[in-house]
Amino acid sequence: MSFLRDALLVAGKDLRIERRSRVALQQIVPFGGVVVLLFAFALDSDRTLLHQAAPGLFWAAVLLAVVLAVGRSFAIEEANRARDGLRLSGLDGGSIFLGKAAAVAVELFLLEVIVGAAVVVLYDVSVRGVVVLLCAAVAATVGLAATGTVYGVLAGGLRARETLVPLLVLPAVTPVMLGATRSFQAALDGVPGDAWPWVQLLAAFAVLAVAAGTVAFGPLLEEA
Amino acid sequence: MKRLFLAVTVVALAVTAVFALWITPPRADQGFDAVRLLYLHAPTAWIAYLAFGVTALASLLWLLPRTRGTTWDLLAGASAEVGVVFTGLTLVLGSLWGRPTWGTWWEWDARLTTTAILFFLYLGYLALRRTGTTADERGKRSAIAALIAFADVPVSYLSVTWWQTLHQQGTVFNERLSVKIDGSMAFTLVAAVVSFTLLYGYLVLERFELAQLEEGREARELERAIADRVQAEHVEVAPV
Amino acid sequence: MSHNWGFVAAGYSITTAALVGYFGWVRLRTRHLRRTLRDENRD
Repeated sequence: MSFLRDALLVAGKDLRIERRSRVALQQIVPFGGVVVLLFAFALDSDRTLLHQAAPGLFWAAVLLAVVLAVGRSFAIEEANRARDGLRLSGLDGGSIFLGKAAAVAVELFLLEVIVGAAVVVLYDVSVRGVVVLLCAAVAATVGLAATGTVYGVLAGGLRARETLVPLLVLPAVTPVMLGATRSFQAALDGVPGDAWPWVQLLAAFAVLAVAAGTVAFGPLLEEA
Repeated sequence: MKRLFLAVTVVALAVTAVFALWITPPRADQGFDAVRLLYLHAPTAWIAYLAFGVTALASLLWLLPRTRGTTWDLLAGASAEVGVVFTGLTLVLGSLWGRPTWGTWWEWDARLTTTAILFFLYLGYLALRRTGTTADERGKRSAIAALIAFADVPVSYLSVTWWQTLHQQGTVFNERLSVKIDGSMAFTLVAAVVSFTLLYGYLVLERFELAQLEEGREARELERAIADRVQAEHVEVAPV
Repeated sequence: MSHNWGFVAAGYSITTAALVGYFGWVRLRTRHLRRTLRDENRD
Protein backbone atom coordinates (compact mmCIF):
# COMPACT_ATOMS: atom_id res chain seq x y z
CA MET A 1 0.00 0.00 0.00
CA SER A 2 2.80 2.38 0.89
CA PHE A 3 4.21 1.48 -2.53
CA LEU A 4 1.27 3.13 -4.27
CA ARG A 5 1.23 6.01 -1.81
CA ASP A 6 4.88 6.73 -2.60
CA ALA A 7 4.10 6.59 -6.30
CA LEU A 8 1.30 9.13 -5.82
CA LEU A 9 3.69 11.30 -3.85
CA VAL A 10 6.22 11.38 -6.70
CA ALA A 11 3.50 11.91 -9.31
CA GLY A 12 2.05 14.75 -7.24
CA LYS A 13 5.49 16.35 -6.96
CA ASP A 14 6.06 16.25 -10.73
CA LEU A 15 2.60 17.52 -11.56
CA ARG A 16 2.89 20.33 -9.02
CA ILE A 17 6.17 21.42 -10.62
CA GLU A 18 4.48 21.37 -14.01
CA ARG A 19 1.51 23.35 -12.76
CA ARG A 20 3.77 26.04 -11.39
CA SER A 21 6.36 26.15 -14.16
CA ARG A 22 3.75 25.73 -16.92
CA VAL A 23 6.36 24.24 -19.26
CA ALA A 24 4.08 21.38 -20.26
CA LEU A 25 1.12 23.64 -20.87
CA GLN A 26 2.91 26.55 -22.48
CA GLN A 27 5.53 24.67 -24.50
CA ILE A 28 4.76 20.99 -25.04
CA VAL A 29 1.04 21.35 -25.84
CA PRO A 30 1.61 24.23 -28.30
CA PHE A 31 4.37 22.13 -29.88
CA GLY A 32 1.79 19.42 -30.53
CA GLY A 33 -0.45 22.03 -32.11
CA VAL A 34 2.34 23.24 -34.40
CA VAL A 35 3.00 19.69 -35.56
CA VAL A 36 -0.70 19.31 -36.44
CA LEU A 37 -0.47 22.48 -38.53
CA LEU A 38 2.75 21.32 -40.22
CA PHE A 39 1.13 18.07 -41.33
CA ALA A 40 -1.61 20.07 -43.00
CA PHE A 41 1.03 22.05 -44.90
CA ALA A 42 2.83 18.83 -45.85
CA LEU A 43 -0.33 17.29 -47.28
CA ASP A 44 -1.26 20.49 -49.11
CA SER A 45 -4.44 21.03 -47.08
CA ASP A 46 -6.06 18.25 -49.07
CA ARG A 47 -9.20 17.64 -47.04
CA THR A 48 -9.81 14.01 -47.97
CA LEU A 49 -6.19 13.08 -47.46
CA LEU A 50 -6.01 14.82 -44.07
CA HIS A 51 -9.29 13.24 -43.08
CA GLN A 52 -8.01 9.74 -43.93
CA ALA A 53 -4.62 10.21 -42.33
CA ALA A 54 -5.93 11.99 -39.22
CA PRO A 55 -5.42 9.09 -36.72
CA GLY A 56 -1.85 8.52 -37.86
CA LEU A 57 -0.97 12.21 -37.87
CA PHE A 58 -2.52 12.64 -34.43
CA TRP A 59 -0.42 9.83 -32.96
CA ALA A 60 2.72 11.00 -34.73
CA ALA A 61 2.23 14.38 -33.05
CA VAL A 62 1.73 12.65 -29.69
CA LEU A 63 4.87 10.54 -30.17
CA LEU A 64 6.95 13.64 -30.82
CA ALA A 65 5.49 15.23 -27.71
CA VAL A 66 6.38 12.13 -25.66
CA VAL A 67 10.04 12.84 -26.34
CA LEU A 68 9.65 16.37 -24.99
CA ALA A 69 7.61 15.29 -21.97
CA VAL A 70 10.19 12.67 -21.00
CA GLY A 71 13.04 15.11 -21.48
CA ARG A 72 11.23 17.57 -19.24
CA SER A 73 10.45 14.90 -16.63
CA PHE A 74 14.16 14.19 -16.21
CA ALA A 75 15.36 17.75 -16.70
CA ILE A 76 13.62 18.65 -13.42
CA GLU A 77 15.62 15.90 -11.70
CA GLU A 78 18.93 17.11 -13.13
CA ALA A 79 18.44 20.65 -11.85
CA ASN A 80 19.99 21.17 -8.42
CA ARG A 81 20.96 17.48 -8.50
CA ALA A 82 17.42 16.59 -7.46
CA ARG A 83 18.19 13.10 -8.79
CA ASP A 84 20.40 12.52 -5.77
CA GLY A 85 17.60 13.66 -3.51
CA LEU A 86 15.26 11.19 -5.17
CA ARG A 87 17.79 8.41 -4.79
CA LEU A 88 18.44 9.15 -1.14
CA SER A 89 14.77 9.66 -0.33
CA GLY A 90 14.41 6.04 0.71
CA LEU A 91 11.52 5.58 -1.70
CA ASP A 92 11.45 2.30 -3.59
CA GLY A 93 12.73 2.56 -7.18
CA GLY A 94 9.57 0.94 -8.50
CA SER A 95 7.30 3.47 -6.86
CA ILE A 96 9.41 6.37 -8.11
CA PHE A 97 9.05 4.92 -11.61
CA LEU A 98 5.28 4.56 -11.28
CA GLY A 99 5.00 8.10 -9.98
CA LYS A 100 7.08 9.68 -12.71
CA ALA A 101 5.39 7.62 -15.45
CA ALA A 102 1.95 8.52 -14.07
CA ALA A 103 2.80 12.23 -14.15
CA VAL A 104 3.99 11.93 -17.76
CA ALA A 105 0.82 9.98 -18.61
CA VAL A 106 -1.42 12.69 -17.14
CA GLU A 107 0.42 15.39 -19.09
CA LEU A 108 0.17 13.35 -22.28
CA PHE A 109 -3.50 12.76 -21.77
CA LEU A 110 -4.11 16.46 -21.41
CA LEU A 111 -2.11 17.03 -24.57
CA GLU A 112 -4.09 14.37 -26.43
CA VAL A 113 -7.38 16.04 -25.55
CA ILE A 114 -6.22 19.44 -26.80
CA VAL A 115 -4.37 18.19 -29.88
CA GLY A 116 -7.29 15.83 -30.58
CA ALA A 117 -9.69 18.75 -30.58
CA ALA A 118 -7.40 20.60 -33.00
CA VAL A 119 -7.30 17.54 -35.28
CA VAL A 120 -11.11 17.22 -35.24
CA VAL A 121 -11.53 20.84 -36.24
CA LEU A 122 -8.65 21.26 -38.68
CA TYR A 123 -8.77 17.86 -40.40
CA ASP A 124 -12.56 17.67 -40.56
CA VAL A 125 -12.98 14.48 -38.51
CA SER A 126 -16.34 13.37 -37.13
CA VAL A 127 -15.91 11.60 -33.81
CA ARG A 128 -17.36 8.09 -33.54
CA GLY A 129 -16.82 5.12 -31.24
CA VAL A 130 -15.89 7.15 -28.19
CA VAL A 131 -15.52 4.11 -25.89
CA VAL A 132 -12.97 2.51 -28.21
CA LEU A 133 -11.15 5.80 -28.66
CA LEU A 134 -10.90 6.26 -24.91
CA CYS A 135 -9.72 2.71 -24.20
CA ALA A 136 -7.12 2.85 -26.95
CA ALA A 137 -5.91 6.29 -25.86
CA VAL A 138 -5.54 5.24 -22.22
CA ALA A 139 -3.69 2.02 -23.04
CA ALA A 140 -1.45 3.76 -25.56
CA THR A 141 -0.70 6.64 -23.22
CA VAL A 142 0.29 4.33 -20.36
CA GLY A 143 2.56 2.37 -22.69
CA LEU A 144 4.16 5.53 -24.08
CA ALA A 145 4.66 7.13 -20.67
CA ALA A 146 6.16 3.95 -19.18
CA THR A 147 8.53 3.30 -22.09
CA GLY A 148 9.55 6.93 -22.21
CA THR A 149 10.25 7.02 -18.49
CA VAL A 150 12.44 3.90 -18.64
CA TYR A 151 14.53 5.37 -21.43
CA GLY A 152 14.56 8.72 -19.68
CA VAL A 153 16.33 7.29 -16.64
CA LEU A 154 18.46 5.05 -18.86
CA ALA A 155 19.91 8.12 -20.58
CA GLY A 156 19.72 10.30 -17.45
CA GLY A 157 22.88 12.17 -16.54
CA LEU A 158 24.67 11.13 -19.72
CA ARG A 159 26.07 13.63 -22.14
CA ALA A 160 23.97 13.98 -25.30
CA ARG A 161 20.94 12.85 -23.29
CA GLU A 162 18.57 15.11 -25.23
CA THR A 163 19.44 13.55 -28.58
CA LEU A 164 19.78 10.01 -27.26
CA VAL A 165 16.25 9.77 -25.81
CA PRO A 166 14.38 10.19 -29.13
CA LEU A 167 16.62 7.66 -30.85
CA LEU A 168 15.97 5.13 -28.08
CA VAL A 169 12.26 5.79 -27.49
CA LEU A 170 10.82 6.19 -30.98
CA PRO A 171 11.81 2.80 -32.47
CA ALA A 172 10.75 1.05 -29.26
CA VAL A 173 7.22 2.47 -29.36
CA THR A 174 6.44 1.58 -32.98
CA PRO A 175 3.95 -1.10 -31.79
CA VAL A 176 2.07 1.65 -29.93
CA MET A 177 2.08 3.89 -32.99
CA LEU A 178 0.63 1.08 -35.10
CA GLY A 179 -1.86 -0.12 -32.51
CA ALA A 180 -3.17 3.31 -31.58
CA THR A 181 -3.45 4.48 -35.18
CA ARG A 182 -5.24 1.33 -36.34
CA SER A 183 -7.72 1.29 -33.46
CA PHE A 184 -8.51 4.99 -33.95
CA GLN A 185 -8.96 4.36 -37.66
CA ALA A 186 -11.35 1.47 -37.01
CA ALA A 187 -13.36 3.44 -34.47
CA LEU A 188 -13.67 6.49 -36.71
CA ASP A 189 -14.61 4.31 -39.68
CA GLY A 190 -17.49 2.95 -37.62
CA VAL A 191 -16.11 -0.60 -37.25
CA PRO A 192 -15.09 -0.70 -33.57
CA GLY A 193 -14.99 -4.51 -33.72
CA ASP A 194 -11.75 -4.28 -35.71
CA ALA A 195 -10.21 -2.08 -33.04
CA TRP A 196 -10.34 -4.47 -30.10
CA PRO A 197 -7.39 -6.70 -31.04
CA TRP A 198 -5.32 -3.53 -31.33
CA VAL A 199 -6.53 -2.25 -27.98
CA GLN A 200 -5.50 -5.57 -26.48
CA LEU A 201 -2.08 -5.24 -28.06
CA LEU A 202 -1.78 -1.73 -26.61
CA ALA A 203 -2.85 -2.98 -23.19
CA ALA A 204 -0.34 -5.84 -23.32
CA PHE A 205 2.40 -3.42 -24.33
CA ALA A 206 1.45 -1.09 -21.48
CA VAL A 207 1.53 -3.93 -18.93
CA LEU A 208 4.94 -5.11 -20.17
CA ALA A 209 6.38 -1.60 -20.17
CA VAL A 210 5.11 -0.85 -16.66
CA ALA A 211 6.43 -4.17 -15.35
CA ALA A 212 9.84 -3.71 -17.00
CA GLY A 213 10.11 -0.17 -15.69
CA THR A 214 9.14 -1.08 -12.15
CA VAL A 215 11.86 -3.74 -12.04
CA ALA A 216 14.59 -1.82 -13.86
CA PHE A 217 14.14 1.67 -12.46
CA GLY A 218 15.67 1.16 -9.02
CA PRO A 219 19.00 -0.22 -10.27
CA LEU A 220 19.14 2.43 -13.01
CA LEU A 221 18.65 5.29 -10.57
CA GLU A 222 21.50 4.11 -8.35
CA GLU A 223 24.98 5.13 -9.26
CA ALA A 224 27.24 2.20 -9.98
CA MET B 1 45.01 -20.14 -34.03
CA LYS B 2 43.28 -16.92 -35.04
CA ARG B 3 45.07 -17.03 -38.39
CA LEU B 4 43.66 -20.51 -38.98
CA PHE B 5 40.17 -19.35 -38.05
CA LEU B 6 40.44 -16.51 -40.56
CA ALA B 7 41.80 -18.82 -43.26
CA VAL B 8 38.98 -21.34 -42.78
CA THR B 9 36.41 -18.53 -42.88
CA VAL B 10 37.81 -17.04 -46.08
CA VAL B 11 37.92 -20.45 -47.79
CA ALA B 12 34.34 -21.20 -46.72
CA LEU B 13 33.16 -17.83 -48.04
CA ALA B 14 35.00 -18.37 -51.33
CA VAL B 15 33.43 -21.82 -51.82
CA THR B 16 30.00 -20.33 -51.05
CA ALA B 17 30.55 -17.54 -53.56
CA VAL B 18 31.49 -20.02 -56.31
CA PHE B 19 28.37 -22.07 -55.68
CA ALA B 20 26.14 -19.03 -55.33
CA LEU B 21 27.36 -17.28 -58.47
CA TRP B 22 28.09 -20.12 -60.90
CA ILE B 23 26.81 -23.54 -59.89
CA THR B 24 23.26 -22.86 -58.73
CA PRO B 25 20.65 -22.28 -61.49
CA PRO B 26 18.85 -18.98 -62.16
CA ARG B 27 15.12 -18.99 -61.33
CA ALA B 28 12.46 -17.68 -63.67
CA ASP B 29 10.03 -17.14 -60.79
CA GLN B 30 12.54 -15.39 -58.51
CA GLY B 31 13.93 -12.69 -60.76
CA PHE B 32 16.24 -14.99 -62.75
CA ASP B 33 19.78 -14.48 -61.57
CA ALA B 34 18.63 -12.10 -58.85
CA VAL B 35 17.83 -15.23 -56.85
CA ARG B 36 21.58 -15.41 -56.21
CA LEU B 37 21.04 -12.59 -53.72
CA LEU B 38 19.17 -15.12 -51.59
CA TYR B 39 22.50 -16.73 -50.67
CA LEU B 40 23.57 -13.44 -49.09
CA HIS B 41 20.23 -12.15 -47.86
CA ALA B 42 19.19 -15.25 -45.89
CA PRO B 43 22.51 -15.74 -44.02
CA THR B 44 22.95 -12.02 -43.23
CA ALA B 45 19.43 -11.98 -41.76
CA TRP B 46 20.25 -15.07 -39.71
CA ILE B 47 23.47 -13.48 -38.44
CA ALA B 48 21.60 -10.31 -37.48
CA TYR B 49 19.22 -12.27 -35.28
CA LEU B 50 22.02 -14.46 -33.91
CA ALA B 51 24.11 -11.39 -33.04
CA PHE B 52 21.29 -9.68 -31.15
CA GLY B 53 20.51 -12.96 -29.38
CA VAL B 54 24.14 -13.16 -28.25
CA THR B 55 23.94 -9.53 -27.08
CA ALA B 56 20.81 -10.27 -25.04
CA LEU B 57 22.38 -13.39 -23.52
CA ALA B 58 25.62 -11.62 -22.63
CA SER B 59 23.63 -8.73 -21.14
CA LEU B 60 21.65 -11.15 -19.01
CA LEU B 61 24.88 -12.75 -17.79
CA TRP B 62 26.21 -9.31 -16.90
CA LEU B 63 23.10 -8.54 -14.89
CA LEU B 64 23.24 -11.77 -12.87
CA PRO B 65 25.47 -11.02 -9.86
CA ARG B 66 27.17 -14.39 -9.98
CA THR B 67 28.42 -14.02 -13.56
CA ARG B 68 28.89 -10.24 -13.66
CA GLY B 69 32.09 -9.22 -15.43
CA THR B 70 33.35 -6.71 -17.98
CA THR B 71 33.81 -9.58 -20.46
CA TRP B 72 30.05 -9.97 -20.91
CA ASP B 73 29.52 -6.26 -21.35
CA LEU B 74 32.23 -6.00 -24.00
CA LEU B 75 30.96 -9.13 -25.75
CA ALA B 76 27.43 -7.69 -25.81
CA GLY B 77 28.73 -4.49 -27.38
CA ALA B 78 30.93 -6.29 -29.93
CA SER B 79 28.11 -8.60 -31.00
CA ALA B 80 25.61 -5.74 -31.29
CA GLU B 81 27.96 -3.75 -33.51
CA VAL B 82 28.55 -6.70 -35.84
CA GLY B 83 24.79 -7.31 -35.73
CA VAL B 84 24.03 -3.76 -36.86
CA VAL B 85 26.42 -4.16 -39.82
CA PHE B 86 24.64 -7.36 -40.85
CA THR B 87 21.17 -5.89 -40.29
CA GLY B 88 22.04 -2.99 -42.57
CA LEU B 89 23.28 -5.44 -45.20
CA THR B 90 20.11 -7.53 -44.85
CA LEU B 91 17.99 -4.46 -45.59
CA VAL B 92 20.06 -3.40 -48.58
CA LEU B 93 20.17 -6.94 -50.02
CA GLY B 94 16.45 -7.45 -49.45
CA SER B 95 15.79 -4.23 -51.28
CA LEU B 96 18.05 -5.23 -54.18
CA TRP B 97 16.30 -8.57 -54.45
CA GLY B 98 12.84 -7.09 -54.06
CA ARG B 99 13.23 -4.65 -56.94
CA PRO B 100 13.52 -7.26 -59.75
CA THR B 101 11.18 -9.82 -58.12
CA TRP B 102 8.41 -7.66 -56.67
CA GLY B 103 8.96 -4.52 -58.68
CA THR B 104 9.56 -2.32 -55.63
CA TRP B 105 12.58 -1.47 -53.53
CA TRP B 106 10.60 -1.77 -50.36
CA GLU B 107 7.63 -3.86 -49.30
CA TRP B 108 5.99 -3.18 -45.93
CA ASP B 109 5.91 -6.81 -44.97
CA ALA B 110 6.33 -7.91 -41.39
CA ARG B 111 9.86 -9.23 -41.63
CA LEU B 112 11.27 -6.34 -43.61
CA THR B 113 9.63 -3.73 -41.40
CA THR B 114 10.62 -5.46 -38.17
CA THR B 115 14.20 -5.70 -39.42
CA ALA B 116 14.20 -1.96 -40.08
CA ILE B 117 12.93 -1.31 -36.54
CA LEU B 118 15.61 -3.67 -35.22
CA PHE B 119 18.26 -1.70 -37.06
CA PHE B 120 17.26 1.54 -35.35
CA LEU B 121 16.77 -0.07 -31.93
CA TYR B 122 20.35 -1.32 -31.94
CA LEU B 123 21.76 1.87 -33.44
CA GLY B 124 20.29 3.50 -30.34
CA TYR B 125 21.87 0.82 -28.17
CA LEU B 126 25.30 1.46 -29.71
CA ALA B 127 24.85 5.21 -29.24
CA LEU B 128 23.99 4.60 -25.59
CA ARG B 129 27.19 2.58 -25.19
CA ARG B 130 29.33 5.40 -26.53
CA THR B 131 28.17 8.08 -24.10
CA GLY B 132 31.27 7.71 -21.97
CA THR B 133 30.70 6.90 -18.34
CA THR B 134 32.22 4.38 -15.93
CA ALA B 135 32.45 0.74 -17.03
CA ASP B 136 29.93 -0.40 -14.40
CA GLU B 137 27.46 2.32 -15.23
CA ARG B 138 27.75 1.59 -18.95
CA GLY B 139 27.41 -2.14 -18.31
CA LYS B 140 24.24 -1.69 -16.30
CA ARG B 141 22.53 0.77 -18.61
CA SER B 142 23.41 -1.03 -21.81
CA ALA B 143 22.50 -4.47 -20.43
CA ILE B 144 19.04 -3.25 -19.48
CA ALA B 145 18.64 -1.43 -22.80
CA ALA B 146 19.65 -4.59 -24.70
CA LEU B 147 17.08 -6.70 -22.88
CA ILE B 148 14.31 -4.15 -23.45
CA ALA B 149 15.21 -3.93 -27.15
CA PHE B 150 15.22 -7.71 -27.42
CA ALA B 151 11.81 -7.99 -25.75
CA ASP B 152 10.44 -5.30 -28.06
CA VAL B 153 11.18 -7.33 -31.19
CA PRO B 154 8.39 -9.96 -30.92
CA VAL B 155 5.81 -7.26 -30.10
CA SER B 156 6.92 -5.23 -33.12
CA TYR B 157 6.77 -8.30 -35.32
CA LEU B 158 3.27 -9.14 -34.11
CA SER B 159 1.96 -5.61 -34.61
CA VAL B 160 3.41 -5.30 -38.10
CA THR B 161 2.01 -8.72 -39.06
CA TRP B 162 -1.48 -7.70 -37.97
CA TRP B 163 -1.16 -4.41 -39.75
CA GLN B 164 -0.24 -6.16 -42.98
CA THR B 165 -2.92 -8.85 -42.82
CA LEU B 166 -5.49 -6.12 -42.33
CA HIS B 167 -4.31 -4.05 -45.23
CA GLN B 168 -3.02 -6.14 -48.07
CA GLN B 169 -4.10 -9.72 -48.01
CA GLY B 170 -2.16 -12.20 -50.07
CA THR B 171 0.05 -9.83 -51.97
CA VAL B 172 3.27 -10.62 -53.75
CA PHE B 173 5.52 -10.79 -50.78
CA ASN B 174 4.29 -14.23 -49.76
CA GLU B 175 6.15 -15.50 -52.77
CA ARG B 176 9.39 -15.28 -50.91
CA LEU B 177 8.22 -17.86 -48.42
CA SER B 178 7.52 -20.33 -51.17
CA VAL B 179 10.91 -20.36 -52.85
CA LYS B 180 11.23 -23.98 -53.91
CA ILE B 181 14.68 -25.17 -53.22
CA ASP B 182 16.46 -27.85 -55.22
CA GLY B 183 19.63 -29.78 -54.40
CA SER B 184 22.41 -27.34 -55.25
CA MET B 185 20.40 -24.42 -53.85
CA ALA B 186 19.91 -26.17 -50.53
CA PHE B 187 23.60 -27.03 -50.30
CA THR B 188 24.60 -23.45 -51.17
CA LEU B 189 22.25 -22.03 -48.57
CA VAL B 190 23.66 -24.29 -45.87
CA ALA B 191 27.21 -23.44 -46.94
CA ALA B 192 26.36 -19.74 -46.88
CA VAL B 193 24.86 -19.94 -43.40
CA VAL B 194 27.86 -21.90 -42.09
CA SER B 195 30.46 -19.60 -43.65
CA PHE B 196 28.69 -16.44 -42.51
CA THR B 197 28.41 -17.83 -38.99
CA LEU B 198 32.18 -18.41 -39.06
CA LEU B 199 32.67 -14.86 -40.30
CA TYR B 200 30.41 -13.56 -37.53
CA GLY B 201 32.45 -15.46 -34.93
CA TYR B 202 35.70 -14.09 -36.30
CA LEU B 203 34.47 -10.49 -36.51
CA VAL B 204 33.10 -10.60 -32.96
CA LEU B 205 36.42 -12.00 -31.75
CA GLU B 206 38.35 -9.17 -33.41
CA ARG B 207 35.90 -6.53 -32.21
CA PHE B 208 35.97 -7.96 -28.70
CA GLU B 209 39.76 -7.76 -28.57
CA LEU B 210 39.60 -4.18 -29.77
CA ALA B 211 37.05 -3.37 -27.06
CA GLN B 212 39.37 -4.88 -24.45
CA LEU B 213 42.21 -2.71 -25.70
CA GLU B 214 40.04 0.40 -25.56
CA GLU B 215 38.90 -0.53 -22.09
CA GLY B 216 42.49 -1.10 -20.94
CA ARG B 217 43.59 2.24 -22.27
CA GLU B 218 40.77 4.06 -20.50
CA ALA B 219 41.65 2.34 -17.25
CA ARG B 220 45.31 3.31 -17.68
CA GLU B 221 44.44 6.91 -18.39
CA LEU B 222 42.31 7.02 -15.28
CA GLU B 223 45.14 5.48 -13.22
CA ARG B 224 47.60 7.98 -14.62
CA ALA B 225 45.27 10.87 -13.83
CA ILE B 226 44.89 9.64 -10.27
CA ALA B 227 48.66 9.20 -9.93
CA ASP B 228 49.25 12.75 -11.23
CA ARG B 229 46.71 14.10 -8.82
CA VAL B 230 48.24 12.28 -5.87
CA GLN B 231 51.68 13.53 -6.85
CA ALA B 232 50.42 17.09 -7.15
CA GLU B 233 48.82 16.95 -3.73
CA HIS B 234 52.05 15.62 -2.22
CA VAL B 235 53.95 18.54 -3.66
CA GLU B 236 51.43 20.90 -2.20
CA VAL B 237 51.44 19.25 1.18
CA ALA B 238 55.19 18.74 1.52
CA PRO B 239 56.39 22.35 2.19
CA VAL B 240 53.99 22.91 5.10
CA MET C 1 15.07 -10.86 -71.30
CA SER C 2 16.92 -9.29 -68.43
CA HIS C 3 18.67 -11.64 -66.09
CA ASN C 4 19.19 -8.98 -63.46
CA TRP C 5 22.94 -9.53 -63.19
CA GLY C 6 23.23 -5.85 -62.32
CA PHE C 7 21.37 -6.39 -59.07
CA VAL C 8 23.49 -9.44 -58.26
CA ALA C 9 26.70 -7.53 -58.91
CA ALA C 10 25.50 -4.62 -56.77
CA GLY C 11 24.49 -6.90 -53.90
CA TYR C 12 27.70 -8.90 -53.87
CA SER C 13 29.93 -5.86 -54.15
CA ILE C 14 28.09 -3.90 -51.46
CA THR C 15 28.32 -6.87 -49.11
CA THR C 16 32.02 -7.36 -49.81
CA ALA C 17 32.77 -3.67 -49.45
CA ALA C 18 30.85 -3.34 -46.18
CA LEU C 19 32.38 -6.42 -44.54
CA VAL C 20 35.93 -5.76 -45.74
CA GLY C 21 35.56 -2.13 -44.71
CA TYR C 22 34.32 -3.00 -41.24
CA PHE C 23 36.99 -5.65 -40.77
CA GLY C 24 39.66 -3.24 -41.96
CA TRP C 25 38.47 -0.53 -39.59
CA VAL C 26 38.61 -2.91 -36.62
CA ARG C 27 42.07 -4.17 -37.67
CA LEU C 28 43.52 -0.68 -38.16
CA ARG C 29 42.16 0.59 -34.87
CA THR C 30 43.45 -2.47 -33.02
CA ARG C 31 46.90 -2.03 -34.52
CA HIS C 32 46.90 1.68 -33.74
CA LEU C 33 45.92 1.07 -30.10
CA ARG C 34 48.52 -1.70 -29.70
CA ARG C 35 51.20 0.66 -30.99
CA THR C 36 50.26 3.52 -28.70
CA LEU C 37 50.12 1.17 -25.71
CA ARG C 38 53.58 -0.15 -26.58
CA ASP C 39 54.93 3.40 -26.90
CA GLU C 40 53.41 4.35 -23.57
CA ASN C 41 55.06 1.34 -21.94
CA ARG C 42 58.43 2.38 -23.31
CA ASP C 43 58.24 5.78 -21.64
